[in-house]
Amino acid sequence: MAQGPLEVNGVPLSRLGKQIAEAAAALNAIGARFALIGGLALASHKVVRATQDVDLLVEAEKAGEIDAELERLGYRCLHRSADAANYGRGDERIDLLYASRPVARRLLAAAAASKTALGELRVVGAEGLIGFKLQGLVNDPRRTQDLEDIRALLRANRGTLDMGELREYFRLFDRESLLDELLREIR
Amino acid sequence: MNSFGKSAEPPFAAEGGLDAPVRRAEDPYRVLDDLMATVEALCPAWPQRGQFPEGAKILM
Repeated sequence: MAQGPLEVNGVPLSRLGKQIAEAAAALNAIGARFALIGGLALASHKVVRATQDVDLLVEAEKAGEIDAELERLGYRCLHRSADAANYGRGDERIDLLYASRPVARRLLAAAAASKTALGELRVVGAEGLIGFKLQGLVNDPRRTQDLEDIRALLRANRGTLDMGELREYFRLFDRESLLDELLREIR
Repeated sequence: MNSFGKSAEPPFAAEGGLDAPVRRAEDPYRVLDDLMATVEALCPAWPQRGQFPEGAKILM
C-alpha cells in the first residue's frame, strides 16, 4: 500500500504531514491528478502558516475512484456534490474540489510538481490559489482567514503575480474593487 | 565636542555576534511540517469545519 514518507532524516513527520503524504501517495497510485489548494498550498508561495485543512483540487472524472481510495484509507464521505466533497476520518479532514470548469481544469493541468518532505506534490499557481480563496470568501464572508491569506499572498508575491490573470478571477466574482483595495493596502 | 576619549579597544560590535550560516529553507513543506509538529504538541482545539454549502457559487 502506498503511504508516502513517514519521516525525514530520521525525524517523524507531523500528524498533518503524514496525512498529506498518505493521501498524495494514494492518489498518485491510482493515477488521479491532484493539486494542493487552500492553506497548505500557501507554503509554495512564500506564506507558511499553521493549518489543519487538507484541500485538494482533483480531476472530476476520477471522483468515483478517489472516493473508493479515500474510503479504503478509512475516510467517510460527509458530503459529495458535482462540485465538491468533504471526507472525515476522526478529527482529520480532506476537502475536495472537482476540476470540472475550464478555469479549474487549466489550473490543475498547469500545477507545478515539486519533490517535498511530504512526497511529490503538485500545487496550483499563486494567482489560482488567490482565486480559490476568493471563491471561499464569496461563499462564506465569515471566512476571514481567506481574506488574510489573499493579503499575505499578494504581499509576498507582488513582484511576480500575473495581474491580468488575477483580475480575471476577481472579475469572475464581481469583486474587482476588492482587488484594487487590497493592492492599495500593500503598495 | 566629544567628551569621550578615543578608546584603544576595537568596537565591541565588530567582534560580536555568532558566526553561524543563515539556515536556508529549501523545502517550504519541511518548514510547514516543523511548524505543525510544534503546533500539534500544544494539542490545539481546531475550529469545527463546515461542509460545502448547497448552492455555493462555484465559478472557478
